[in-house]
Amino acid sequence: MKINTFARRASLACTVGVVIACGAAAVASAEEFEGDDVDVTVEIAEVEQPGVLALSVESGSTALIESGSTLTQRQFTGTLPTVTVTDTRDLSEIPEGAGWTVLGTASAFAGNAGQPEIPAGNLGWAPALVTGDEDGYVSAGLEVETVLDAPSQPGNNVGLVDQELLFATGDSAATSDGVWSANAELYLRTPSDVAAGTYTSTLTLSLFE
Amino acid sequence: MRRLLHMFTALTIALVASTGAPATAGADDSPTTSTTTWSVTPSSADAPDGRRFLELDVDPGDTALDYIAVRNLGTEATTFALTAADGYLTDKGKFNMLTSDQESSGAGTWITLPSTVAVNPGETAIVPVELTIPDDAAPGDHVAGIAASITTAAQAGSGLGVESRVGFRAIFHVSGELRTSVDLQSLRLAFHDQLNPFLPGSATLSATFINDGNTTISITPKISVAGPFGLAPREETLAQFELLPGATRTVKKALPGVWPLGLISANITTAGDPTFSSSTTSLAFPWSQAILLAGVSGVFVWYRAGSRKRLATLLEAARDEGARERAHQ
Repeated sequence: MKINTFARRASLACTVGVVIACGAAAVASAEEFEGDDVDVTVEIAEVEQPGVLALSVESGSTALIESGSTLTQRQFTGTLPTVTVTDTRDLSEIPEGAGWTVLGTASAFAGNAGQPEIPAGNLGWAPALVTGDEDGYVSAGLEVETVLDAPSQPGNNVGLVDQELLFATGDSAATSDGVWSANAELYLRTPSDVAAGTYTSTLTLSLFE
Repeated sequence: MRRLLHMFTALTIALVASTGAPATAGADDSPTTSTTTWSVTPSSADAPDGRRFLELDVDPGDTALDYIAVRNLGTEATTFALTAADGYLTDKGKFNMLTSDQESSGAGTWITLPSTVAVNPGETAIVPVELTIPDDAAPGDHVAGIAASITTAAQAGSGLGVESRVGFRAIFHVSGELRTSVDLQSLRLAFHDQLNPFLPGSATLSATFINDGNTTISITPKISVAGPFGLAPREETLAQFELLPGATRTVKKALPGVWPLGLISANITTAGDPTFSSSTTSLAFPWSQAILLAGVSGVFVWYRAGSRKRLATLLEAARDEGARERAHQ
């Protein structure tokens, strides 16, 4: 009971304090131009540069750490750095019926000492939208299971080859002036008898329209 | 009172942390991540010219010079790798180009550009691109992609390097004899019965199209499924998709509500140009209905047999009765 009253009084005090401060600032600035009306005009030049469809990626690589392994299957998980798509084009600049997509394709995991490579089909992911509205025009891709798993949705156990991370469906025109980010939980699954060692692969993320 | 103190302390710490400069917060734990933002578009020799992709009508043996603009929208000077490779459409119809570790053999080899370009923040670099069409280039459509990329190397351990690229399509229309054609590599119809004999079953149609012409085609498949003599027909129009020359695409359609009328047939056509039509049939034996019918008849026959037996027993009893009565008289 006491805490609620205290919190209420404290927040009220803070609000009053802020209002007073703002009011004081307004009065202070107004006093500089006492009595005079000053006209302010600004010339905004036409921006000639076309709008852009741009890709942003965070630096920082992805390590896959063993987690969730069972007796028959080993699992390594990690998180893809956040990928952001910014579209500042206006409607006249977008081709009709265009829609952009960020696709991900992994290469096979090559061992550092001649171990047999782990195919890209053993890598799966679960994309998630980080910022931006999933308003039906822009969606994060569906979960992709590895070739070792049963499909969690019809036909989605194909591994990470040409899979969608983030895409604008149908008309890009409906999505102009937006910023959308997505990342994905990555998981690499191998049989438990996989040869030990250091494996590396490259995940290629492509933004095309 | 203690709880109040804890709450106040927590609030203060939170405030301090959020207003503290990001740089100091970063220096303590993991290294700060920076973000690189860039875009790539076709361009004229001076500035981006508003084209969203490169499209040229060319003859075999032609050469042309074009430009791309690589714009660095980030805060740090960055060196981008420039790549051109064969383009294709994924099985969901999205454009992609071959990755850096794959070798191009088609239109990707017709494009020559510098391997890297360094761009200062806020600036746009205009890069010349040479297009060389081979003398023996086949007529029709050839598609490639051009992109600028940055690569983050894999960490030690089971690491995944990430190559991020943004680019656009390059479409070459090579003059010569053009053929627009589509064919089916496979067409399969399967019927799935329902356990409940009062509900219809479902059918699945699977068709693999191949573009065996040399121009890009756009296909809208229409399927119709019916029982024998055209009974209970149903039609569906599937989503339109593009097919590049030489590419294949498989469409699968589940059709619920199909009654097992012994035999079902499906017809698949494509509207527009090129037109195409093919059909297939599948056995749709009404198993659950037959079992139900067999069950009902069996019960009926058993009942009839039972009643006949009862009738015979009754007659026998009546005869015995009659015989006894006669004996008593």
